Amino acid sequence: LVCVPLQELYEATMQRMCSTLDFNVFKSQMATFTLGSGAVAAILCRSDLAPPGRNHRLTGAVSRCAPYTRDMCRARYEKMTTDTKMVLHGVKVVGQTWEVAQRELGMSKENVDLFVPHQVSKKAHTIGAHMLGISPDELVATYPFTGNVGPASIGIALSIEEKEGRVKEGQRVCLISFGSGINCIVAEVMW
Amino acid sequence: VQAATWACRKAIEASGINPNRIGVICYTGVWRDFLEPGMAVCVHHELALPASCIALDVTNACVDWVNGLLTVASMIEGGVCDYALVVDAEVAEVGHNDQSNCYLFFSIQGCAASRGRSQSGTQPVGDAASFSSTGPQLAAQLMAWRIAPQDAVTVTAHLQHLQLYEARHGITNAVAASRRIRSTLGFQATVI
Repeated sequence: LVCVPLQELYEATMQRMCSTLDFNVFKSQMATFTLGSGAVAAILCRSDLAPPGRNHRLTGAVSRCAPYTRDMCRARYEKMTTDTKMVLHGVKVVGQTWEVAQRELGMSKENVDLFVPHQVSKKAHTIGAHMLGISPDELVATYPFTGNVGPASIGIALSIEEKEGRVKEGQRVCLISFGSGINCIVAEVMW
Repeated sequence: VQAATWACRKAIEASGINPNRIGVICYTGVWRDFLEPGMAVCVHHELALPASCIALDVTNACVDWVNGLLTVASMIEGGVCDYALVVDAEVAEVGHNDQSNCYLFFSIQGCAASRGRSQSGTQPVGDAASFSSTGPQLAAQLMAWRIAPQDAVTVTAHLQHLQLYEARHGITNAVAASRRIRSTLGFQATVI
């Protein structure tokens, strides 16, 4: 198997977009250009084995699955298409998962120190913030300079927050992960 | 595989944990180099992890990194292992078609970078945090990575991020952006 580079995916997408007069075809491939590259790794262990200063505890998580939105995004090596209307509908699943997180994990917008959501776009951030009842400025945003690095987004965003000193020991961090499916997970990390 | 291995090495180094004590490695990316073998197996090999370490991939679109965290957390809770590694690499592989050029591929003002040489494979050369930089900082970082202008580095920028670049550098279009990168860094630059 030959891996098609992301660069080639961009070029193939641009060729397809330039060779059509159908705006819907054009629009459905636009989100491809939001993709970025990056890698992230985390080590988990029993709390009593954690190195000094790195005993960040994963203390709970809740999730919701909305398979009726499964056609939202289809990706192959050479082509990705997205139904942007459905993306916005899918973001509402975040609101539903947040309701469960408040009930099951005792979270509230007042007792969470840092919200780290999946990084997609300004629109997704704005709607997500509205669902949480907070200002978009209160959500960690790395998408303006990293793009959407898929599942690595949330780890990269968390890493940047730590390196820049915006997350401190004892703080309650709320990870909000969502992806095609749509699946949404709200996880709690006590830093 | 190389980018995932690089991220794992950074995590292991930062934690100070002996890699021989890692009992599970879980790869969680959308991107995969092959349909089989699993990516975790390949990274397991690159890191020379012990045979007792379980390698598994978790695939579930953009939630799979957090799915991976919860999966290995359950395994730790269940006593399967003491330490587990969760990794994801969403990486542009570049440099396949050119024997002489070295490519630097990045989302403008950010993101991870991959350095590719067709004969030696693709090497990731920077992490997301250190790559958020201005032109001179980027130039310094490239020097630290021993990438010289004569390596004919191509800087490829996302059109989506151009506005950010424009705001910071007072330039108004893609052509000017590529000229700016070229004049600041001495590298050939392509804005797509």
